[in-house]
Amino acid sequence: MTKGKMVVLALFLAATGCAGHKGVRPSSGPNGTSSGTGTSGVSQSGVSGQALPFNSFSHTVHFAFNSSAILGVNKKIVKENANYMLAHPNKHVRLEGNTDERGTQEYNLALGWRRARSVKSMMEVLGVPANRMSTISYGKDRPVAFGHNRAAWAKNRRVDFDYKH
Amino acid sequence: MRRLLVSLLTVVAFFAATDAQAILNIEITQSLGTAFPIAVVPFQGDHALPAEERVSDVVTSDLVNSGRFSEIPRSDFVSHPHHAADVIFKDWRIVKADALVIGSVKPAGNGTYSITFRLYDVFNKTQLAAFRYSAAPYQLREVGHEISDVVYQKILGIRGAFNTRIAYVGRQQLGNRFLYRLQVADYDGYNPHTILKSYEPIISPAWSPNGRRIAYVSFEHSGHAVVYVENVSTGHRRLVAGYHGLNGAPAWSPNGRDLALMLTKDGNPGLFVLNLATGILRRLTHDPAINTEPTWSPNGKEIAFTSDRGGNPQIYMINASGGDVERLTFRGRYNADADFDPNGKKLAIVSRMGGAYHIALLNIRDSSVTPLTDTRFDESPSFSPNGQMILYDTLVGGHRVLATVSVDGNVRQVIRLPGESVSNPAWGPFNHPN
Repeated sequence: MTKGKMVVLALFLAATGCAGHKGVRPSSGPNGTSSGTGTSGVSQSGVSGQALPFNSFSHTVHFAFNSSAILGVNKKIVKENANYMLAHPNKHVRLEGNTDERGTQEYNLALGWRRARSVKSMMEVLGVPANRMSTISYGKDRPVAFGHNRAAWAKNRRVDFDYKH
Repeated sequence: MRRLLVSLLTVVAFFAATDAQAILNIEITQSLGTAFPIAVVPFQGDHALPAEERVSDVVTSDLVNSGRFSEIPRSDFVSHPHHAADVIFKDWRIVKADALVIGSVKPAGNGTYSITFRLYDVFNKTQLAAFRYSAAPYQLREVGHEISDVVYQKILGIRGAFNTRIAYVGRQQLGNRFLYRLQVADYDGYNPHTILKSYEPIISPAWSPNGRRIAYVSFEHSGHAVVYVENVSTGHRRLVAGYHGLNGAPAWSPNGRDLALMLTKDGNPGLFVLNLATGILRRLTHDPAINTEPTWSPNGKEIAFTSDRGGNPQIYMINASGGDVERLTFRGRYNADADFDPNGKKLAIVSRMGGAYHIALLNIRDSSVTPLTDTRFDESPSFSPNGQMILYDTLVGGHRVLATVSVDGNVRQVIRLPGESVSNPAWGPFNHPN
């Protein structure tokens, strides 16, 4: 990584920090990536093996109820995060597992952990060293959507990639 | 200020207390079956006390909220005796009271009170109990609960659990953050105080068998779930499980020496038993599934727990010293978070039925599951120490609230602490140190 790119990345972190989010959360939802506007000259192609700019891919993958299987578009999101990690060998990521509000507290804590481990396993298969990843679970206690309905539950069944830790 | 509205099946009592956090709203949402009709005459001297310290009101609330007693309306009373010589049994047969409670609260110097009470069997015209207590003002509610325990025992032959405490977690939104509070309060929500405040989640409080300590899971170390044991009266606490990965689901052995825990330190979420004195950790489950939410049988020989080794969460049981695992639930796709009843014959569980999560009773002998609630998001069942009630949390108006249900499912109540979401309740043991 060149010094110039590092500066660009630092500016990015500063900008998203000002937005008032906890952690760096791009504005993409479960359906994939947002456009990477105002990025540096890094490849935009999204082809496997090439890293996208930090804020141009989602940092969240989603799950079905009581499942830790990574399906559909979420596989692509894990790959994009893996590519980013491979292109930035000094980065560390914390994988934070979460569940929806349904079901019991401690079972959900374990389920969130299993989701985080599921993502970590796939990242390892994609070549990211295990020692650059850590996993935690918040169970049902860190929802991003507060409704008591299917839409909220779908948003909360997730693993967040937290690059601050 | 206290208002009491009585209708056939619904009793709503509003309490106003000095501390905003102590304001409660207890609603009996369902009451069926045969309740024992009792008349509680306002104690002599009670009216001079602040509303929340009126002993006869505490007794009335306790008995009615237990679901086992119905209150004879005070407006029906023909006489208002305070002393044995004033009791005319005929007056109480007229209003269809089967039992009568009278008493008095008198200043006894140095800011203390002398409280007397008598319990009568109206039909047999006999006195069943008579006691005198001496108490400081802050102990008046406790005296009321003591009297309720005596009445409950004398009339029903069952030990009362009115002088017990509960622990729970309150969550309050402050701007874009949540403040979590681990709280301890009387069983009815009065006298709450805070054990721990944190901007990271706190879950799964569990009382030690002697009521002196509480184990809980705190995320305060950058979101890393660890288990603490805290002395309730001194506030001194000790990190007992801070292993790599998750540390959760603490459950005390009946002798208070061991904690069953869920740890992921060896890979998958597995059950362990930690000896608190020696620190020796023993692994209990060895399969790759989720194994969590342990609860000890009252004799300490068995541990029931939740596992998804069969594909979805179900209740299993294992010998506390290890060995074979027996599956207990077979119907439905989600049975979890068991709590042993004090007799060791049943488990209170969370059971998913038709997409809703109810509190249910699992009979260990025949694996039958009986739902006790019909609300949608009921969780964290915890038996009262006399096994008559189950405390849990549920969703009402978008907030989590505490609720109780009788073991026969006939009486349900909601205990509301306004402005907060309240969850993870745990009912403490009989005897607690003061």
